[in-house]
Amino acid sequence: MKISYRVNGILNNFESKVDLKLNRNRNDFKSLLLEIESGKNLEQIFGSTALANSLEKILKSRGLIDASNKLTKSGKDFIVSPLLEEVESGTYSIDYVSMPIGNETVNYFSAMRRTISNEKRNFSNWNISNIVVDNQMLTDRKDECVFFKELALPKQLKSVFQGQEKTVELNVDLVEKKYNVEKGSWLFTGDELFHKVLTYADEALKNNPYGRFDLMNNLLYVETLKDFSDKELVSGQLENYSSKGITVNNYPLCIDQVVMAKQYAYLYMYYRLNEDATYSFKEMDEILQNEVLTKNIFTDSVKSSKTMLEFQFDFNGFKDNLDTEKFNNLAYKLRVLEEFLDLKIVDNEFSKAKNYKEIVSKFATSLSGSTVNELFMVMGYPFAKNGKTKTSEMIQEFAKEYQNITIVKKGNEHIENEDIEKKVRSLGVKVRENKNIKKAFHDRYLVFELTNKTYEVYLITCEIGQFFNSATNQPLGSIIKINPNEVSKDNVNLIHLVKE
Amino acid sequence: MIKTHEFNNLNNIVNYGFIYEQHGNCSVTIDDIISDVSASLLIYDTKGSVFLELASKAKKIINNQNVVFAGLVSHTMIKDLKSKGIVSGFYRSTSSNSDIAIAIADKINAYLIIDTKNIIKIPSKKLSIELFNYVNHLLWSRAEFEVLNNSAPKKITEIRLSVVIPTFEIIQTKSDLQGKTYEYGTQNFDANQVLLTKPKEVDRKALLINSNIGSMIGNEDQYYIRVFDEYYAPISREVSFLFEGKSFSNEKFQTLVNKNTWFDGKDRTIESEKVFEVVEVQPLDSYKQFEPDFEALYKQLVKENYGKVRINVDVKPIMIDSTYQISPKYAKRAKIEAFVEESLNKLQKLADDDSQKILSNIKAIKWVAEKIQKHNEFVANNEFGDDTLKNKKSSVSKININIEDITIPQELLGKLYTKKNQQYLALKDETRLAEAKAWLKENNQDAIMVLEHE
Repeated sequence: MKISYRVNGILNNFESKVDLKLNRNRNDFKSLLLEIESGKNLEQIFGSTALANSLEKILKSRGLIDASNKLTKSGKDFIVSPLLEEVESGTYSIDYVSMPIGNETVNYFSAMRRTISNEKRNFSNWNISNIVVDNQMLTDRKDECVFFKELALPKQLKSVFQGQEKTVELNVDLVEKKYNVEKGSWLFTGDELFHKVLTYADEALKNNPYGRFDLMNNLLYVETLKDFSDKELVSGQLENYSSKGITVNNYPLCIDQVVMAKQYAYLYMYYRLNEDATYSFKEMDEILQNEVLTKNIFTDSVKSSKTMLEFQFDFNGFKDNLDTEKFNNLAYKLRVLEEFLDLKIVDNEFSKAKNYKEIVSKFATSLSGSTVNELFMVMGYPFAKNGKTKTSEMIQEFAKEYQNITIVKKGNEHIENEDIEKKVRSLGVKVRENKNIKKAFHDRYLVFELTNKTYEVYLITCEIGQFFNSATNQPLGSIIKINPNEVSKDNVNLIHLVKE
Repeated sequence: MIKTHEFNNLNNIVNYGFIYEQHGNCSVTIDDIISDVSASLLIYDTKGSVFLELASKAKKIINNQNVVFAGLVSHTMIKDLKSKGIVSGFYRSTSSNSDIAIAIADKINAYLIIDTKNIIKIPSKKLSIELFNYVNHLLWSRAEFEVLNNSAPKKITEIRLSVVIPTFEIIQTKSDLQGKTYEYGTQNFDANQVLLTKPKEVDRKALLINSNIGSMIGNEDQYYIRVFDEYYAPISREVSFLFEGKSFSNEKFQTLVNKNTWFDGKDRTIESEKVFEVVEVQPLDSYKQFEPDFEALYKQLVKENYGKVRINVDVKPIMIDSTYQISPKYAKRAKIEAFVEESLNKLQKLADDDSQKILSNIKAIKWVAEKIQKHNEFVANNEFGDDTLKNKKSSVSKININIEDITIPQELLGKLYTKKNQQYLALKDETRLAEAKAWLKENNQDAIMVLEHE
């Protein structure tokens, strides 16, 4: 994602004696405060009482340590952002930029040098107004950038030596909060310049064909899906839009209306199916819950709406929500899937289970923990950020019987909930990913490596971490024992892949 | 001259064979299957025995977007769909071969298609569903290429096993069937009567079944037919149309005559009677006495089996045709005659008056042998003057010739021919046969007597 402002402005320079107030990056102070924080005193650090006393005074005067030489809140903040305000006076050559932002023109200093030029200059009145502060500026010390705070001419001075004006290209990156002049180094804008450009961007992006840009949360609330390209809808991002110098790239879309969310769900699945993928309608529902609803493309209220929580794809839904051309493209395939890929739950010992405990006990009757060396769980969405994911509950039960469990992520696209992963890992479960599994294997599996180095493979027709309907406790898929020879095709072998 | 002999084989015995029987076709047609479809038709036919015909008759279904037409076919077939004009529908190819073609309308009405004229409608819903579930399993889990509505064949790289093999209750495995005793069974079973898809000699009674059936077992009231792998579906309806013949042993020709049968390694029909006409040519002087060797002719002529065989031999005299050449004796004789004449003319010019008369007499002799003899005598007995001797006599001398080389019969008697160094005497008819024989003897000639023309 990128939001940028590009405009032509004026770069000028003046040379004069000035008093400068700056925020300077002081990692030496940071290191010192870290040592103090770790319990050392200044005398121990420097081995000199005089040096310690002198520094103690400085730190106290800056409010970084208190009377008992402990770090103050400012001191602790300094460790995070070690910027120290400093004042310096001298003769400087200073670059300043005039940047138009809408109807306003702001000025900011972009570079300072301690040596002045040899060129002949006019001595003219100092008249720079509307100066922005807190932006970063370059200095002539190698690699040093400082944050501008204040500039004043000595009292008796009213004029400075003015340089030549020059038109330059100015760029502001509103995501990184940085600017550059003439494609030079990227420097931090500071809050003031950032907010001025952001406010302008907000205004500049108002009359767009897509919807409402929320530049604070970086979301585009979509008005209608019609104006977006296929690629934009699948990726959930506006590729590129420019208005009045503001350009957005790969900007995340957000849907806050349930009706549109439903329409989006069908469009998303249309593109997936049109690209060769083959899913049963139940599998489409699973993809929506895990791959679409975990993204930020829907607002929380849409995600938690009854309609979306209970959403299920069906043939007529495609007909009602896609335009005629798209529907006609897909209709025959949908009829094929509806007619022939209607997966039923296989009636076996697992189909009667009501919870993970019962599932594990069914496995344990033929595969007791002591005979299993390692259990590989090939999963699509083990840590999906949605309310349906019960991977940690599932793992808790399996871990009671099987000591050595590895979750192998197939490589399905989805947003993960780190808390679930942490919890699962805390149970001693290893997690790895092998995206080659997704390329070759449609389904999910439990691969038991036995102590005698043979394997037993079980196919699972839905996500094992989302196995039960939360309302009814009924299984949503089947667990079926299969011949290990079946998980191999064209030199691709699942058992090899889970161990890679 | 016709000479006839009849052989009667009706009591000959065939040790082992088959009689084909025609029971008529079944009543179910491809059109019946098509008219049964309202939502979908799934065809599994990797042998390609009926797929194209079914697809061409099912154009209405294929072109209806609301009805799914799906085919699970061979890899070769899926590549050829476009060239066969099949541009709509859903097709996948598999290496799991079908035994007989299966079509399932609306997922619940199954048909076993032995060939387009022999179709079994499965009355049991449960069996139909089992068949559907298995074919559907292959469609999603065992397919390698896909064509959807005229797309190019796309390789299916993803392994999907979620459409699982159904649990069969009605369909039986081979091992389910092996434990019981059945009256009929193909050779992979041990039944009382063996079912064969093509005739061959076996040590039991055998029945012939449609050659598209891979394996079958059963009793009169219940058969099981192999549908795929080692799985057998029960077919309890009237399936007599699948039976095409039965074996026999030690059967007389009499009972097999005019029936479609198989024995001694091939299909045969024993005709009740067969007449062979043969022409035999013999020398003119002996053909009337000739007796044909009918046993040898039978061996030579009769290659098939017949109830009765009659051989008619028309014995005729040898006749001159373009393969015979006029005997070279005629040309040689003409040449000698001219030579004698010329020699006598020369002698006349040399000879004195006395001798002239003798020479005139010699010239007047008709018989060439005598003329040569006299000429030679004359040359031997007369002497000429020195000059003559020196200048002329050298040009005349004795004529040495084997008289038999130029001996020919009178034209009225006949004419000499040769063929392959054999001499033939051709007569105009049989009236002067005795005279001709005498001439040969008299002139010390050897020739086969033939007829000049009819």
